[in-house]
Amino acid sequence: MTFGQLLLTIGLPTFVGAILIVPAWLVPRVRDISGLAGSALGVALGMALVVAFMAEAGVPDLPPAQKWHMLPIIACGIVILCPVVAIMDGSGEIGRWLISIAAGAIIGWLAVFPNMDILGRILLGVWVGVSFMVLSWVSHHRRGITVTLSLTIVFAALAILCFHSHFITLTLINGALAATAGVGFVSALVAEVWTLDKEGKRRSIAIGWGGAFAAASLVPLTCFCGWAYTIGDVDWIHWALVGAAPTMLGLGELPGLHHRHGLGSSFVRVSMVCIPVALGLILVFTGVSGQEEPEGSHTNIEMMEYGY
Amino acid sequence: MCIHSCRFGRYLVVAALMGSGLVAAFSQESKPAAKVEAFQLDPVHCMALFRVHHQGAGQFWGRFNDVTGTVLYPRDDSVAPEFDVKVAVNSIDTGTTKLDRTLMGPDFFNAVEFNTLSFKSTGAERIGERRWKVMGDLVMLGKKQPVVAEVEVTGVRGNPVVAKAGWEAVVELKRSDFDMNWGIDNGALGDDVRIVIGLEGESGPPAKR
Repeated sequence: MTFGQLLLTIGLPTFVGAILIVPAWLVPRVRDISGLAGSALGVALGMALVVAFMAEAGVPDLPPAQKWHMLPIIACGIVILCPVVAIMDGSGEIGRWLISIAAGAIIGWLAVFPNMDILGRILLGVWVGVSFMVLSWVSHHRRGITVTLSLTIVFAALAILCFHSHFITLTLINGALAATAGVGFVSALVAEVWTLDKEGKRRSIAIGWGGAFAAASLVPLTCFCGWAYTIGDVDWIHWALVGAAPTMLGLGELPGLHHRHGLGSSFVRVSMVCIPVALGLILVFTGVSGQEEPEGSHTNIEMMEYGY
Repeated sequence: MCIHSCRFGRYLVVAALMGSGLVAAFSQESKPAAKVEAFQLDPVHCMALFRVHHQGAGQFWGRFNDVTGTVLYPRDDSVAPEFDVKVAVNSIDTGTTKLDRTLMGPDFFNAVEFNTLSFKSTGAERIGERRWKVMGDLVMLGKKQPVVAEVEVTGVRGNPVVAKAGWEAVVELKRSDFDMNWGIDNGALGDDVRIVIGLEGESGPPAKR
């Protein structure tokens, strides 16, 4: 992997994400436009996946030649739908449930990775739906820095899992998603410190339903894709632990905890996300033997045993 | 005496004629082209090696150990060999398990979705004594593309019942033709791939096989 390749596959999507997020979250007049701030992170994440995929694997065929090539096609759909979902932000519980069910159903229907039977697709759909319910709820109560930092950590951990699964393109895609979420985190932090909102308060902007929709869709999608193509020592439990980590943010909104605000509470909430992430990574690293294997594969060993 | 000698002479002529007829008959039977036999490939003695340029520097070699299929071929080389060969992607062997897994991954051979590569002859042209240019379709990553293999018949050995035959084929292709594009643009791995396939098959009664 060369520096130029990293620059193209991770740097370019991050730059595109920055162009979308920074004005929408930091320029006061722009961020007050309805639905713009709430869709910026979502559109940036979707674009990051599409740009990173195209930098690595080119333009996908329609219908896709390989099942994992559905990822950028679904991401295009997310980019298009994000502003719509962001505008629906504040439409109440009915809107939230509708988006949750529709997102789960559409993604569960479209994302058919290898070895995924009907139960797998239902699980993916439910995962997307539940993730949206949690993240849209959190986005109403929590600062941008909490959610974006959590997403940065989760996507970075997914990149590590993909690397251990020998899936180079998905490693770089998750790297691009982590970097884009990182741009969101930095923008939210800057907004928290230096900018004032309409009410004259210093606070970072929420990721909005658009951001929640993209994150709730992309984390389970990349998890399932990585799991379906794993050739190595990464098991389903590792993917599940890391992929389900963003929903831990919901625990911070339970009665008794939700009234806590400030940077300290953000740190605690992010730490709750880090627990399953760290557990998943520790299990992967301890599960790998760590031995270099310069000898031939098992096929050769079997042939030697047979005396050929 | 004369009558007897004349009769004897006639017998001799008839016997000579019959003998020459038999000789002619036998010699005619050995001349026609040998029949085309089905050689079942022996996976232990078959392999497919591939070579690709790594980072613009060295030529990197790997191999597939599980090669199966059938070759239709007459022992006297009167007709071109017809290949129907399958290669198991998960038998890839570079000598390093980590690299094997990367090559089996979706960025390269995508063994989860496409577990075999296959080649089927569509035509052939003789280029020399026991040397053929064999045209055929190679299916890789679910995509079928025509390729040309230069084939040398490396040997035929056996008895009238069973025989062994060997072939060596060299195929040059561009992996981008099969949508295997990873690393081409940034120069990490070359586009041109040379495949050298060593095959050995055995013909004979089905029970033996």
